[in-house]
Amino acid sequence: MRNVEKAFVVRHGARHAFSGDRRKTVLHDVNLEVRRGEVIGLLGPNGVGKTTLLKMMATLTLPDAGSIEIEGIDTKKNPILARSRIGFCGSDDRSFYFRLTARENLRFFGALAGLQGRQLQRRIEETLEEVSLHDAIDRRFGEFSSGMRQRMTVARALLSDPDVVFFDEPTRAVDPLHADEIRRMIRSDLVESRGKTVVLATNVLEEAWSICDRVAVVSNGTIAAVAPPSELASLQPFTSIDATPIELFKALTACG
Amino acid sequence: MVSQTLSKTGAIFVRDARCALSYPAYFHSQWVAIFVEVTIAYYLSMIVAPSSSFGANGQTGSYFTFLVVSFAFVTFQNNAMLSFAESIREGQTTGTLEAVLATPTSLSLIVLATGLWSFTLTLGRVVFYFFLALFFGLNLHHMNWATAGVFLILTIVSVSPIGVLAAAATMVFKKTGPLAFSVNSATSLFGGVYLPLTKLPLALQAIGWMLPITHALNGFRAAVYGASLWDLRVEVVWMLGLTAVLMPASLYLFARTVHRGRHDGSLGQY
Repeated sequence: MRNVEKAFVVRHGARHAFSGDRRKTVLHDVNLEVRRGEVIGLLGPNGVGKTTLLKMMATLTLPDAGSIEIEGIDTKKNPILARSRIGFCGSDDRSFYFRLTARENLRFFGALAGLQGRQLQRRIEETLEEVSLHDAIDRRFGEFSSGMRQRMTVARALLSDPDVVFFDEPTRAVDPLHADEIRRMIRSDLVESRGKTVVLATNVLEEAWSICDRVAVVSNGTIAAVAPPSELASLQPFTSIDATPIELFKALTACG
Repeated sequence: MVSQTLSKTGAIFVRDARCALSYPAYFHSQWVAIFVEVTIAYYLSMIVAPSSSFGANGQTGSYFTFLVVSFAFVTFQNNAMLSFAESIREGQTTGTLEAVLATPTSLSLIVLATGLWSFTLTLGRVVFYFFLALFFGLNLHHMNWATAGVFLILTIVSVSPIGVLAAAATMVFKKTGPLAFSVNSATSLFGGVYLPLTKLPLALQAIGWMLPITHALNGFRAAVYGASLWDLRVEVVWMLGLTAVLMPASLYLFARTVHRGRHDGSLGQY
């Protein structure tokens, strides 16, 4: 990702939707190189641009300037090819068809990802097993709890066995037990066993610390620092921080 | 490549079919509505005398046949307007649109395949219209089935771009209603749905003549009275020409609206 910039139109209510509009820069001068086979965390508070950054990497949002390459593929010039290499686990846990079962939903998204026949059936079974939803395979998505829905978004992202997976707060609304399972699956199964590359947006410091090889601190619309978790607290301007999680989070995300 | 395209198209068709059939009461009620419409057409035709204006191919026709063809065929356009746009709208509000656009699937396939279930269902509805109408005295003895089949396909192909345009409008305006209402009202007035186009002033006839549904209705009505494709060559050429212009234009516009959504981050906004 080189020199990426992004601004959005900010609308001020319905009555003055046009007269009061202005562009607000969300991200600027973003440069980030993700190494193959690592988990890199995007850490920052709500509204700092982590999701926008992930969506730009996943070709869902276009940068105003700069370029993004995935496995050597320019996402702007060849988005469909880039999408065939990535899995996107968004933070919207409603993004399924509520009247369809887990199997039917994944069959649909799997087919759009290019899977067919037995391979598709096998991957549906495997991914639902990975997120502990196999017992609910023939239940309607609408009957799922928030945590189960979130785990379905993880299953969908892994369906096509992509080289690169983007996770946007994958443990949001998930109970601690299943959240721990998802983290272990990302760290042990996806990265250490299968060599996948993972970009994880989170605002949970412990999550970033426990599974990321490196953490990119997103602050003031740019990436303020990138380092392994163990080194991050010792970098300027964080050296003075007595590393309690909340203080460290405040210090990390206030820099830039 | 071809097998993947077919597989993706099939997946979209199955999704839409399963979603529609998961509302059984709503699904079954549409067949009751057809019965009501055919009954209305029957009793309306009793107060309107047969006329050459209602017929085709040099024959006098009944108002009943005229209305049944209208009611049955205009649903292709109404469904095109609604199904494409509503699918996009539902995807915006639930977030499934973003999830679909994150897959390596072309935009044209995503939008065009969305109409497949709706058109299949409409085809079933048209058959049911005619089946019921037979009991009310619809005469299909002179029907040129080949011409009817060709016009059925031409109707689907020529109204699809209108559906894609409705989907493009929904991408921008985040609402399905106004455009669909305007087009459907215009169709009823200018397309010769309730009365023959020849009864309208010339200026309005010209507007009607430009609409694909006008030619679809003319063609199918003429097929009921035995007209051949050669007799209807003007209709065929116009519908093909219109499709050749509107299809790429509508797909381009839809792609532009998605591009705009990607640019301003509004794909998932509602």
